[in-house]
This record gives sequence, structure tokens and C-alpha cells, in this order.
Amino acid sequence: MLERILSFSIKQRWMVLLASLGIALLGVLNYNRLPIDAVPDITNVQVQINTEAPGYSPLEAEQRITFPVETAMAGLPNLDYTRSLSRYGLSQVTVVFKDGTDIFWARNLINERIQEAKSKLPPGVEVAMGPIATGLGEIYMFTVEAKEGAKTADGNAYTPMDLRTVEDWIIKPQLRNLPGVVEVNTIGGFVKQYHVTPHPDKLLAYGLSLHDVMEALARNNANVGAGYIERNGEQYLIRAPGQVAGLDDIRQIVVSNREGQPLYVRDVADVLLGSELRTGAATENGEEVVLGTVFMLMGENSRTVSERVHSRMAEINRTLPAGVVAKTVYNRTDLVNAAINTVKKNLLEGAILVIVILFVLLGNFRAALITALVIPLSMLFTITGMVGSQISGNLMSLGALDFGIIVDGAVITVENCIRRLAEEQKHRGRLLMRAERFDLVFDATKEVVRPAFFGVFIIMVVYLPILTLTGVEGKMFHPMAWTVIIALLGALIFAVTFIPAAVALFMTGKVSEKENFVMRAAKAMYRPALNLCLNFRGAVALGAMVLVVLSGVAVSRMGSEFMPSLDEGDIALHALRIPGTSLSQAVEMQHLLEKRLKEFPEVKHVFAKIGTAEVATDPMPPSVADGFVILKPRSEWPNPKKPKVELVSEMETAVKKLPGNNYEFTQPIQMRFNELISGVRSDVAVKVFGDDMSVLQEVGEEVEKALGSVSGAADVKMEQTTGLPLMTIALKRDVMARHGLNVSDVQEVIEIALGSKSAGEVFEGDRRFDLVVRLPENLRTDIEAIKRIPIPLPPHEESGATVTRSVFASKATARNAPSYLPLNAVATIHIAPGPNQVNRENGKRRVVVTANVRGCDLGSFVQEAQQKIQEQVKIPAGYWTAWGGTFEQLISAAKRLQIVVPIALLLIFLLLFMTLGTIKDAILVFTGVPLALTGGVAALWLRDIPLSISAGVGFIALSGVAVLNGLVMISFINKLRSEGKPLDEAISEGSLTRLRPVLMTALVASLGFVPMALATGTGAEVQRPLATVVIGGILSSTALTLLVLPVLYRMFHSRDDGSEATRSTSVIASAPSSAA
Amino acid sequence: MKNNQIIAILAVLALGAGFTTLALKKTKPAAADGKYGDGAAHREEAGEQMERGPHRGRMLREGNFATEITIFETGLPPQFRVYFYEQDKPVDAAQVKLTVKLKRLGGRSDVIQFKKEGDYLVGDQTIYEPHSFEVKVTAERGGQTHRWQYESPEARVELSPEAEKASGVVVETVGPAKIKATLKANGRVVPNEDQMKHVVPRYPGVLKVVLKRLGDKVSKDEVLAAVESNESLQRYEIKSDLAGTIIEKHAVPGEFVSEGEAIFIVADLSSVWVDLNIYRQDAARVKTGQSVMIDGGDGFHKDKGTIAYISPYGSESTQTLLVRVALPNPDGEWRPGLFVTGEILLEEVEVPLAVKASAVQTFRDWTVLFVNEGNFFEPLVIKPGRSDGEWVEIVSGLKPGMRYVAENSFLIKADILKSGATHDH
Repeated sequence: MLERILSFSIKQRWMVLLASLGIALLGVLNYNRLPIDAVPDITNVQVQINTEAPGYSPLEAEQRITFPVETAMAGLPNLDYTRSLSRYGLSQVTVVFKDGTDIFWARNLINERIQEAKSKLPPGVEVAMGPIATGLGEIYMFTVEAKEGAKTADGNAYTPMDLRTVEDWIIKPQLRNLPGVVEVNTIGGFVKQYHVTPHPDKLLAYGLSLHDVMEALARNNANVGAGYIERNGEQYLIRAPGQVAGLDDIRQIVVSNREGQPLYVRDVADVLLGSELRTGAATENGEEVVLGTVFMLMGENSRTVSERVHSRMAEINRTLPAGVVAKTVYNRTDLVNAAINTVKKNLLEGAILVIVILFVLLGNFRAALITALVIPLSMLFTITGMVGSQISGNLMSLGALDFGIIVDGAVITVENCIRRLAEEQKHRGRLLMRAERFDLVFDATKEVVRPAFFGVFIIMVVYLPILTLTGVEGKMFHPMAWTVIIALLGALIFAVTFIPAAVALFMTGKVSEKENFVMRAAKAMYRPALNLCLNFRGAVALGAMVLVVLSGVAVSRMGSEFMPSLDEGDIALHALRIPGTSLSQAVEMQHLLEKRLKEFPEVKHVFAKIGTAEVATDPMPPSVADGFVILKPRSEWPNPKKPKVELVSEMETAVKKLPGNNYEFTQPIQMRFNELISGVRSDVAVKVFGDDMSVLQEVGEEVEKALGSVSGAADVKMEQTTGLPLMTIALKRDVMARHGLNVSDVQEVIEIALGSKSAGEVFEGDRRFDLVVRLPENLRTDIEAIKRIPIPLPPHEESGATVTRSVFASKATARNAPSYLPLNAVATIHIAPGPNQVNRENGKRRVVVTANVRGCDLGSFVQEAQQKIQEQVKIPAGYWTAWGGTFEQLISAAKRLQIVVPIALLLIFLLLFMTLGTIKDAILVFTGVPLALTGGVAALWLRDIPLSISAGVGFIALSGVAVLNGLVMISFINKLRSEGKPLDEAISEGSLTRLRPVLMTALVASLGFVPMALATGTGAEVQRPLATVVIGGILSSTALTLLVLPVLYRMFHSRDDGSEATRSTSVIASAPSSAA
Repeated sequence: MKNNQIIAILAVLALGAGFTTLALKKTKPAAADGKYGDGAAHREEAGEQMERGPHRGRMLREGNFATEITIFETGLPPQFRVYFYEQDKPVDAAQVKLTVKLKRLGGRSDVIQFKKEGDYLVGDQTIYEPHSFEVKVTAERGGQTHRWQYESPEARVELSPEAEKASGVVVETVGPAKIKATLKANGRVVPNEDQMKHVVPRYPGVLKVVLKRLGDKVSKDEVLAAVESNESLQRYEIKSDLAGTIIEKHAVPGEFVSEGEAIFIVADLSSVWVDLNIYRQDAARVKTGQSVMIDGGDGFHKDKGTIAYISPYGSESTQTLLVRVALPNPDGEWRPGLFVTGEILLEEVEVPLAVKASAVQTFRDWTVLFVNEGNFFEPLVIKPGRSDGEWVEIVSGLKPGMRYVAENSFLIKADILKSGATHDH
């Protein structure tokens, strides 16, 4: 089979070359279609169900909304788990589906269930699903600001309300319909509202109620259409506009008529532009701003979409009123470009290094060029493959590509051809004829194609187990495994088609049989070393074993972490305040914080979202701020070499001095992923489940104490679920009964007076604003004034005892005028702390204690923490704990790898057995794996890099490469022996002959990764462990192949007597031809 | 050859052993012993240094003698209970004479004496919250005096002067203040009924002449109209016997008028009444003689009056009481019929200890102030008394001269609570 391909390639060489060119062109075309991103998207399939419940306290939101919604979601097909959060005015249920579930299908199902649940929900609440976006979705953020001294059309300075109006009605409509944009979420500023604020005293004086005002507004603000009339052949449409057009129109609305005298709204109330009761604010550099976040549709290409948004933003800026600017504060393109540049640089430098080595070791420029051509060819092939299988180009997928490994197969083939050509030319004393050359190339390639093919195939196969990973680590590493497999597949195809064709066609000149001085020097050193090793076989074998044991010991002492995290360049800084902190207080505190941060010369700008935005994609109470610290490019830093960790710790020290804030430092994308994946924003989380909020609180506090005592723990805190000051207006039912009042009568007054109630909308062209009624601001915030809010009493029967003091008195008050009671006559007001939020997971209440891990690996941290909690915390019956946070992934990945890695090793062994035909030789080659790992471990240990999944993937790749070299060497020695050479001679001749290809493959593979191991750019920290492992491992595996393998071969085969040796080797020798 | 091999093998083994020990000795990277989390962890460290006795109290040792200090608060107000040990064996508490001095932030100190109760000594004072103080312990036993001193801070924060300034925390000194308790009420201006006359013809007849119109000012004994009596068919004059203004007129010439039917109402508006409605729950606090500030609103003027009259009975439908204030009205600015609001000054007292209302916060289950000494701030449980929205009287828990956070006190509360202050003795 392989031989047929080889002969076909040589025969149809031009066609093969053309086909290769075609593949290359296809790759170039596809390059523009390749989605590019910084990191793979690791968000699970989830749908957020947000229900706005204006005015609901956390307990009521849980009881009346969250519970019914959560219950309705139970039993959905493909459901993984649900979690929920109930807070002031908001209920959010997050439904997480199993991986691979179609999001649109899931949303449909949820929609159905929501419709079913609606009947159980209180009237007036709106249930909505969150945007179809992932953790990578927040790609672009901008602020809307007024330039200094800018004035509005009527000559005033821009207010936050004006800016919000610009955002809502000019910017947002232009962005929302861009392809790839799913949502523009706004936070900050004030939504403009028309406020009618009646004075209770005046209402009382005129004998009116809030309700009368509401009704008057509602009845004087509508347009009607009245069909049409026909007249003289024409048709006139009829409309009777009655909508109010502005403040003055509202003031003119008649509320009542007294003695022929109309009473206008303006007589009893102030009419003004007011602001909503907002749930969130935004700040930038210590000033309040309006902040917009653009969400990218799931599955879109973040670079394309953010570029599109950015260019549209420039256009939008031209449409804004003079003096108002929309300023970009976060653009994902920057990060993506930086990360991709790192990858590009690494790949390019790696490729150049590979070419240089090929040239130096082969000593033949044409041959080096032909081999090196495999690099761009397989790269372009890979791009086509990635586009075909919808893998995005990012740090993980492109990061694992090593051109050294990719060209291994080609190197072995070309090297053998060169060697044979040189020998043949020397033998014949002339250049070869075309036909001779073709035959020889066929022969030479045939000689090594089987080990080379199987070797590369083994590398491919070892990546397959990665594809069995699931969950986050699956999403993280699948693209990488696929990319490498596609690249290897490409290289494999080119090695058996393009290489023979090109060599046959172009290696026409004289091939010097004399090796260049590099190879000569290498051989000169290798020969005595090999002899020495062969003499001290026992010591060498034992030494190898000792090394393996040693690396085992080293591994056990090494730390581990899930993933080295990508340095996004920017810092996300959570500022947490005590529950119950008011929004305006939080804004004040954030101002101080931002001013302090801005003093750092490295900081470009700081901005923050406080509380919850318009769409509750990330529901936070006003006491929490998501801050973003955008750093200047390193070149503008006073000390460009300053490590980011150091900067972060300096910032932490500085901001810790500000009173009243607690902090968590993380990074924008990382933060979003953490939020979405487990609902928890930190590395490690201990969840306590149970019924009673206060017991949960107590257990949580103990867990917090235990966790805080573990070394490496940082930012340990318990999610504060209580402490929200609650003002309860408790109605006195007996008093109300005496006056004939209903509960709802009083509640309505409270609702209108304090919370505000909509009485319609005011239209300004296309813009529409709510028209609401509520008390004047100075009265709403004054508890004494609240106590005196008049509650109208139902009409009372006229009684003779009523004192009429004068004629005037009876005239001034209209008959049947309602009488009033102050609120505190029918209710008591008390203020006490209440629950701040209620969290549930899988239908059970829970509290969470979170911790970040600094300067210590996650694995050992969790181990210590688990032990401490077991010893120190008593958990009552009916309550239980569970662990979460990113470490969850580490454990599930570790478990899976425990199964998958042995399977991979078994697979390698099986393939070896298939190639070599004997278990003995298969074991021999297989010994390469542990020794190769030794080098990897040593390299990690030397560079002080903890074990991580990245490093694990490196080990997997390494096993493949290690086996490839061993395979080539052993099959060559076997071939020599089958030709009748005695054991010792076969070993030393075989080893010496294979020195060059082994060195070449090893050097190209390790040097190809060197730029990656040393890189410092954005995203380099993700690739570093992988590259380090491969380099270290390949160095040790080369030493093994060259020195230990011959020794082991000698030991394994020392008891073969002549006949046996001949028999076994003949079997081996015949194997390739029979398979071909 | 054989020997060489063996030597080589031994050498390899030795090297291997060497490296293994090296690897085992090298502990995990240096970062592992890096910094701990804030707050909680530090306290934990401190807690580890502090020795806890058999009753989970603080052990103070000197030689063989040990004192264990506990604060007992289960079902009782917090009190000190102190146990003694000699070589870790309990000692009869009666043998020890103990004094504990607590020094709190803001220069307060409590001296606590003890008496025996069970196998321990119990303090003679309630240890009020917060349990944050510097403790000086003096124990005498068998002629020997042992002294200890330790800090037991709780819920205390430190703020540098710069941070204090930047965050707008304002510290003031506790002192006396005037506290006004007021009550707002709605009412209406009505004419003074004592100065209002209904002008009634004495005999029925026909109105012949009407000299005055509505709103005209009249002087005493001025003729208002003339009536031709039905009985005498004589004209007689109708005069006002009150200087004032005509506020009502039912008189048109030619009209028939009868006795007992007022044709004019003349009111002297140089003084008016303001009738205020007082809700029943406020009635008890309103007394005659209290001064009232009447505000006409909407640009009408304000005036001060006193409560002249409180209606002896209430209105059935509204459950309100009528309270009347008489106001002079020389310029006629108070127009009867208009609505006004009145602010009744219920009492005005000079209290010896008062703080700004913005200083008072709730903290755990207490009402507190935050007291300041040096850079330290700490909650102080107080009992608030009367308040007028600006000042709050402090009934107990405070001494004059103490410094307290008057503005932005929330920041101090937030700072104490953020680090999850523990309640641990």
C-alpha cells in the first residue's frame, strides 16, 4: 500500500506537485476565513432566565418567582444542573445543559417551560432569557462622555441623563443590528423619565389622592385614530392627538374641577425630568459615565466582530451631538492580536530554526529546502482543516504546533534518500540517470517509510486520548488536539507523496557523500560514547532506571495547577463593599478607588460597572463593582520589565488603604468565564447546602476560618447573604379595619409614593420615556415624611357630630371630600437587616465561601483545605458541603487522564507491536517513553513550572516523538541483522548510520519549540509549560535513543544464538514488505 | 572489566541516591510560604499565639500560677468569669483577690471587682459591647501579686490621616446641643370668630339702599344699608358695630329681608385663626401655649403663633383634633380659606450630650457611634434619645469630650465589616 503510493508519487511527480500547490492555494484562501480568538471558548451550554421583579425583596423574589421558574426547569432533557439567585428586584435562574446541546433548541425548550410557569408567577413580572452569548461575549466596551465645557442645545452642561439618552437612542440602535452583535448592554447614567411629584400637603388641601393624579395623567395622554371619511373623491384619515409633548403639557392636565375652577397638575405637583430608581452605575477615572458593553453572538469571530464594532463606532461618533463622544475603553481585538502575534512569532521563528538545522545537518541546500517546504504546506493544509472543522485559531490550538515534530517524517525520508544517493553516486562514480535516480529514491524511501509513517502515526494517535476529555478541559484542549492531528496528517501525506516526488525530481546534482563537519564532529564524539556505554551495559541500564525513579520522585514533589492562565494584559478588579451599601455611596467609594489607581504610571484608564446593568447578564448588588484597569503598553511603563504580579501586588497594597472596600484581582475574560461556568468568581469555592439561612451562615463562617488558615489562601471570603437593611412597613390590620381600609389601598399609596408608578409614556419622536408619579425626592428619603404620607379614607357617612366652625369652612371643602390618615397611623415602620440574596443550586439553598490561590498550586491547596475543613468544621445533619471553582476542572481532568494516559501508552505499544512484530522489540522501543518523560520532568523542575494540563499535553506529544526515534533506530538495526550482520556489528553500525536522522529529528523538534519556551508576549505563559516539557523530553529521549537503546538492544538480544537471531530478524525484516 | 562494571553501577546508585535526597529536600517553590490572606488569617495567627484554657478563655501565666479569663454571656448580660490554676490544677477562687481594669478607646475605663461564685470569680459589672479594650489584670494570692496586661481589640479599624481626609470622614467632639422636637400639621386660615359679626336687620322690610359692597372696609357704626320696615314703613339704617371688612353680603336693593337672616357678615381680619388638624396619635404631645410656625407656602409669608385652643372633642370621620392658633394679620396677608402648614414646636431642650444625626449607624444589633482616638476607630454602643433630624441626644454610653465620626460614618462601618470582624473573646 505505502509502496504503491510511493511509486505512484514518483511516477506522477508533476501531478503530485500540482496537487500540493493546489492544497497550498486552498489554505491561503481559507486563511481569511479562519476565525481568530485569544483563547478557546470554555463556556458551558447555559441559558440565563432573568425575571425583573420591581420592588421585590430577596425572600419574596425567591418564594414567588425563583422557585416556580426553577421548578419548571426541572427535568429538561440534557439538563446538567440549575442554579439561581434571588436579589432585590431580580430573580435569575441559570440552566446549564450538557455539553454539545444545541443552544437554540435549549432556548426553545426553556421558552415553552417559561410559558407554562407564567401562570404561577405574580402578575406584572417579565421573564426574559439572557443574550445568546458566551464567556467570550463581552468583546467591546465604550463610555459615553461629554467633552469638557460642552453644552447641550439649550445651553446647559450635559447631565448623566442626557448622555444616557444619547446612548439609548443614538448609539445603541446603530450597534444592535451589526452582524455578530447580539446585545448592547448599558449601565450608568440615568434613564430619563418624566416625573410628576405631588406634594402630599397640597393633595390634602385639595382633597385629592395620588390615585386621582395617576388617573388624570392616564386619561389625558393618548392619541386616537378614528378611521377615515370620504369627501369629493378623497379619503381623509382622522386622528385626534392627545399625547402630551413635554413638561408643560403635563402641567396643564386637569386633575379636578372646583367651583368651576380647574385644578391643574401643576397646582398639586411638580413636573420635572427625573431619573429612574436605577440598579447600576458606571464610573471611569473617578467620574460617573455611561458605559455600553457589546455582546457578541455565540459562535462568532471575536476579532471580526470587535473590529466591525470599532469601525462602526467611528461612524457613530460623527452622528453624536457636538461635544459628546463615545470612547472605546475595552476592545477585544487588542488582546486577540497580541496573542496571535505571539503565536505567529513563535511559529515563524520555530520554522526558521528548523530550516537552519536541516541545512546544517544535511549539508545540502536543495534537500533542506524540500524538507522545509513541508512546513508551509502542512500549515496551509492545517488551516483548511481548521476552517473545515470550525476550530478557531487561538493560543491553544495554534500554540501546540511544533514544526519540528511535523517535519519529522519528511526529515527521515529525505535524509535516507540523500544518504543513499551519495553512496550510490560514490559507488558508480557518476551522477545517476533519471530512471536510476527514481528507482533509488523509491528504494530509499521504501526503506524508511514504514517506521517513519508509523512513528508519525503514533504521534497522531497519542493525541487522540485528549479528544476524550470533556467539560472545560475538553473545550480547552480539543481544538489543540485536532489542530495537531490535522497538521500531522498533512505532514504524513506530504511525506509519502510530495517528498518522494520532489526528491526524485529535484535532487539531480551531485550529492556529497562526505558529511559536513558538524556531522563529522558529532560522529567522532558519538562513537566512543557508544562503545563506552556498550561496555558498561549494566551501569547504563541501571542509570536509566535511576533517572526514571528520580523523575518520579520529582513529579511527586511538584505542584500542579489547572491551566497556566493567559495574561490578558488588563486587570479586572472587583471592589466589594458590605451589603446594603447604597449605589451613590458605592459610586463615591469607587471614585476614591479609581483616583488612587489612576496614580499608577502604568495605568491607562480605569473604569467600573457598579451593580446590575439594564440586562442582568451579571447581576451584582450595588455593593459590588466590576472594575477594569487597562494598562498602558509596556514600552510606556517607567520600568517596562516590571512583572505584572508585582504591579498587581503594589496596587493591592495601595487600594487596601482605602476604607470600606475589599478586593479581588483577576482578568476580564477569566472573570467572565469563572462567573459563567460555576457562578463563582474565584479559584476555589466551598459550597454549603441546607435549609436554614442562619445555620448556613454559621457553617459558612467556620469554613471561612478554616480556609483562611491554609497557606497560599488569598481573598478568602464568604459570600455575604445577609445584612441588607430592610425597611418594613408593617400594616396595623386592626386600625385599618376600623377605618374600612383595604391592605391594597395602603400598599398602592406606598408603592406610588416611594417606588413610583408608571402612568403612561411620553413620546419625543421615536424616543419614548416613562411618565411616573412619585413623591418629591426630599420627602421620599425622609423617614419622618414617609410616616406622614396621607392615606385617603373611604367616603364616610355624614355624621351630625362633625364640627362646622364657620360658613367658610363648609364652603372651602367640597362635599364628600375624602378624609385622610397618615401612614404611621395604620402602619409601623422599622428598619432591620434582612437577607441580601438567596442562592440556590439544583433546587437547594446554599452559601459559598471562596478563596483565590496565590503563589501556590491549586492541587495541594485544595488537599490541605479539605483536610482542615474536615478537622475543624462541624457540619450539622441535613447540611452538606461541596467544592467548586476552577479546581473542579483540575480534579475531573486528573481523573480522566488517569484512565486516558494508560490507554494512550497501550495504543503506542500496540502500534509498535504492529510495526516491529515482536513484543521484545516493542518493549525495547517503548522504554523510550519513561526516559523521555524524565527529561520533561527535569526541564519543568529546573524552570520551576508546576505540572498543569498544558504540561500533560506536552508529555503526551513527547511520548510520540520518543517512540518515533527508537522505532527508526531499531528497525534499521533489525534490517542489518536480517542481512546477516552479527549482533554487535549491527548495533554499532546501525546506531552510527542513524545518528544523523535521530539528531535531526530531535533537534528540529526541540528547537522548533524553543521560541515558544522563551517567549514573553501575551499568551506565552500558556504555551511555556508545553514547550518546556517537549524540549527537555526530546533532549533526554535523544540521548536514550542514541546511547541507552543500543545497550538495551544488546542486553535483550544477547541470548539470541545465531539461528534464533536469524529467524526472528527474518520475520521482522519481512514484516515491512508484507505490510506494504 | 567486571570490577569496573560493578564500580560503575555503584557510582550510578550513589549519584541517584544523592539526587533523590536533593530533590526531596527542595521543598515546593518559595511562593508557597508567601503571604496569607488578609484579615481572617492574621487573626487566626494571633489566635494561635494566645493560649486558651479549659474554659476556652485566655490563659495568663506567671510561674506556676495561671489565670483564665472568660467572658460569659450565654443567657446573661456579658460578665467576666475568672478561673485560677496552680500547676494546671484548679485553685479555690476565694484565695485570690482580683481586679481587672478595662481601658477602652476614647479614654473610658472600667474597674471591675470580683466575688466568688462557684469555682470561679465573677465580675461585678456587665461588660458592655463591643468587647474591645486594653485589659490590666491584677491578681493577689498568698501575698504575691501577679500583673498582666493585654490588648483585646474587636471591630477596630485604623485609618491614616490622609485616608481619613481623602474619604471625607469628619470627626467631631461630643457636646451639648439644642434639640427641637416638632410636629407638622396641615390646617386652614379661618376668620377670627370672636371678631366676626353677622349683620341682621331688626325688622323685616325691603332693602332700599345698599351702601357697601363685598370686601369693603367698614368702620365701627358705619351705615351699611337702609331698610324700609314692613311694620313702621319707616326707613331705618343698618350699621356695623364692628370695624372690619365685609366678607359676605346677601343684600340687593329692593330685596325683602327679614329679621334673623344676616345680610352682611363683617369680620375684623386684623387677626385670624389657623385651624390645624392633629392626628390622634400626636394629640397627646400637643399642648396649649406651644409655639407654632405657620407657613403659607407658595410665597405666602410665615409667622409664629401659639396654640390658643385645643378642641375638646375630635372629628368622627377623620379622627383628628382641632388645634387653633391665633395670628395677628395687620396687612391682611393671611387670607381666610387658604391652606397652610404648621410646625408645632413640641419641646426645645438643651441636652448635655448630643451628636450629629448623620453619625448614628446600626451595627450588628446595636445603635452605635464610631469613636476615634488617634488613627483608630471603633463602634460604641449608645442609646439615642430625642432627635430633631439634625441632632440626636445620647442618653447613655457616651462621655462629653469624646471624639466621634460625624460624617461619612458609613465608611467606618463598611471598613470594619468588610474584613469580617469576628466576635471572639
